[in-house]
Amino acid sequence: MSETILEMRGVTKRFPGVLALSKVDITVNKGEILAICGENGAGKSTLMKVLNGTYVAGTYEGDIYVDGKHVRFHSIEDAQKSGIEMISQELSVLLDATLAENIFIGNLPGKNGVVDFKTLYAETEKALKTIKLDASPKMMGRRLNSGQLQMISIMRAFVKKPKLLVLDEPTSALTDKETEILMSLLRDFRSQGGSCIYISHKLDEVFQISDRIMVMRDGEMINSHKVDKVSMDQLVAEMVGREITDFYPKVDFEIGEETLRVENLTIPHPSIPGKNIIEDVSFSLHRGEILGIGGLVGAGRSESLEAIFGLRNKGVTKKIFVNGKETRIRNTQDAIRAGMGFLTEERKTNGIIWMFDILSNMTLAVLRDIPGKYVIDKKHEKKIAQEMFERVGVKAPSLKTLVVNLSGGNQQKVILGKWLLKSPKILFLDEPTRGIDVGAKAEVYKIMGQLVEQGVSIIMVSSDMPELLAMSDRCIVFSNGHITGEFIGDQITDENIMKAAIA
Amino acid sequence: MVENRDRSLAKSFFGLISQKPYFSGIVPLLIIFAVMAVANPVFFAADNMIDMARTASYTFILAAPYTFLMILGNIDLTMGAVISLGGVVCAKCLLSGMSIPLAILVVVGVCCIIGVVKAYIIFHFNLPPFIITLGLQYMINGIVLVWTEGIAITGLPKEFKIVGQGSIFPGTRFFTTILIALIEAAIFYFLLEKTKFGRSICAVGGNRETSRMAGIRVNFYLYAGHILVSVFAGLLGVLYASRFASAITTIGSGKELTTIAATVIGGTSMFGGSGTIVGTLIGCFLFAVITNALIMAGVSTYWQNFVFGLILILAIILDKFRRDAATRIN
Repeated sequence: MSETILEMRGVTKRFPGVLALSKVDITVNKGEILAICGENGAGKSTLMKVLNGTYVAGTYEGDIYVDGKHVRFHSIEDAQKSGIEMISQELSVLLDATLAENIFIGNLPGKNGVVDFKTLYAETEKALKTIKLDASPKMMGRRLNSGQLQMISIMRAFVKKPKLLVLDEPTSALTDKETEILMSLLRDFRSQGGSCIYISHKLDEVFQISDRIMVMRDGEMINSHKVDKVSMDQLVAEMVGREITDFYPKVDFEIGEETLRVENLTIPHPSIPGKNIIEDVSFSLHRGEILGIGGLVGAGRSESLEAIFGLRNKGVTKKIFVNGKETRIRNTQDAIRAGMGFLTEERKTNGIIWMFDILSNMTLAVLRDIPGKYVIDKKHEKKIAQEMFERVGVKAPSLKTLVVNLSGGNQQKVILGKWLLKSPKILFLDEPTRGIDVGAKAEVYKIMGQLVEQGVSIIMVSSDMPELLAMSDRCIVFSNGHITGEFIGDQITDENIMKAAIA
Repeated sequence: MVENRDRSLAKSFFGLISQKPYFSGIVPLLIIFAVMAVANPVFFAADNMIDMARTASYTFILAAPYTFLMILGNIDLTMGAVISLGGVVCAKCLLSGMSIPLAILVVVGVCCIIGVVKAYIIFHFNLPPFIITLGLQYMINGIVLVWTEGIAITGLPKEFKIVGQGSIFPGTRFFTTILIALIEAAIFYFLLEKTKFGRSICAVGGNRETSRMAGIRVNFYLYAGHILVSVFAGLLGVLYASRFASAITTIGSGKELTTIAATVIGGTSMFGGSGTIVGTLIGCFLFAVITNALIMAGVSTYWQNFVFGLILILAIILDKFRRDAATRIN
């Protein structure tokens, strides 16, 4: 009986014009958690799609061995029958079905096509207890927030008692508490002999939970390390293929006078009627300052930025002062005219236009300013877009590339470029580096540093603690509708922010 | 429309046109041309071509602004009813002694109001355009019937027939409607491809929220799309009344579906965000061609519907093929 639960040998996968995977070998042992790290585009997701049957046998070269046996998967079902379950990055939940159905879909207990509801609800109760979720099995998926829904889809995989669990960025939507629950679930799973492949950009999590770490780059397997025999800097260097010095840029800029003041901000709760998610909050922002906003998911940070920017207006009361002068912001045009820009949390929803190319996405906010009263001066448009394209460092064949073909990091740079073309004085960044790889993150931080040197004021909402700690000049924390903490310089620490976030 | 070009595919003719947005319309057209070249080459006679162009023009006059609305991601089922209404309103005005320009102005005014009401119900209450315009269509058709008691309006002034039946050079076959369609094509093409208005329409259709974030007045463009469509539908009704020298109360019946189908065949996506005027032009021409080709090839006209449907489905499949090829998998 071998110790190996999974072996993939010589996996090579081609797409038209792209070699996505090149002779990749991986091994996973029983009772082991293997982490796979790499930049976006390194091939991690592609490799996992080969493993879980999304890419069927025949569409790639190489072999898969599960528990010593050679297998060929012709469907995801085949992979599942071999004991491989995958939890993907994107939430795949049924909003209009009950939690019980969500957890046991495709796996419903019962005989002869008739569902055994008693067992279903009993098993669901057990599952909900395991993830410490206080909800009834009959509750509709729609009632939960994204973190809770992610935990539900994690349970969907767990209840099938897999041999190998693949998790792709599982904690992106989770709170710290939920992440802890997941980590302890995984540890229990491991001690019972289960194996895991854990893919994450969050290197601190990787060090926390995995036994071995594999690094991929440009479709190749670069190296494999035991977790206690490698440092984070080493990992990053291998992932990126170059040394990243000054990951967080050091900026020397005198923080100047107040550019933005928000007073008496009150926002009604988006899903709980009669309650306010933000209650009478006031704060200010200064020239050249990066104001970090910390807090748990659901604390109303994004909603606050949306309200200030005129994107969220229903029932909102607020007083906004730009450079000391009271300014009415009823909609996004007012906000933009007042010199504000907003890089949102979900670029797919409201950051980019999917079917447009880079050029048109970049010039979206400055359409009105391009010369030509009705006709677009295309030469001028191309010139300014090209300059910005180079300035933010988008990696793409040309301006005419469709943004749907770009990686998350490059898409984020396009959106940044869109706002930079407007030369905003006040820039709101909501989770600016979520879901983008290490190399792109460093470039975003560099741009933020440059902006600050030019006197731009930045408000940054972030759930990435290292980012919040390193980039903020000042940090305020939201919790339960109020600001529960304000920290400057050395006071900005892990502990202080955490304590304020749960206050 | 904003497009990406894959140089490796462009090496062959097929490769070249398979990237054009009107790919889905040109392929059936070329197939029919090929078949007719064998079945009945008379099809290609100048007179016949002009007849087809004339028929296509009527569809195109409404399909051009409708392309904008479809790019915005909306649908409008009231078009047929508004066409009928336009003809009836114009006829009633003319019979009451109004001059032709004034009557047309009244039609435009009425249609503007219809457009605004339509857009208001859809966007203020955030309701699906399909159902709202369906309901409005029933209502408008009902109003037309009540108003005319189902009887066509005749006895229109002689001068009125000029536009619909006339040609630029009297006695020849340069029909005015073809000229109108061509001028309109040029204007709408220019609007869509070269102006900020057109780019904003594509942006709003591509992603309403992203456009709103970027400071684009989303509601303005949504209303504009609906108003344009209603106005041109009314004007088309006027044109029909001019051609037949009478306002037939059901003239618009079914025309909304033809307009939608022609636009879709031309490669404009029903999900919004992209579309071309050239594509719509080809789609409209294709419809006229199908009817004509069937007759010329001696096929029973009962086959018309079947062929329309077949080509519509073929066009959508071709369009999907084109879009997938443009979006390279990672």
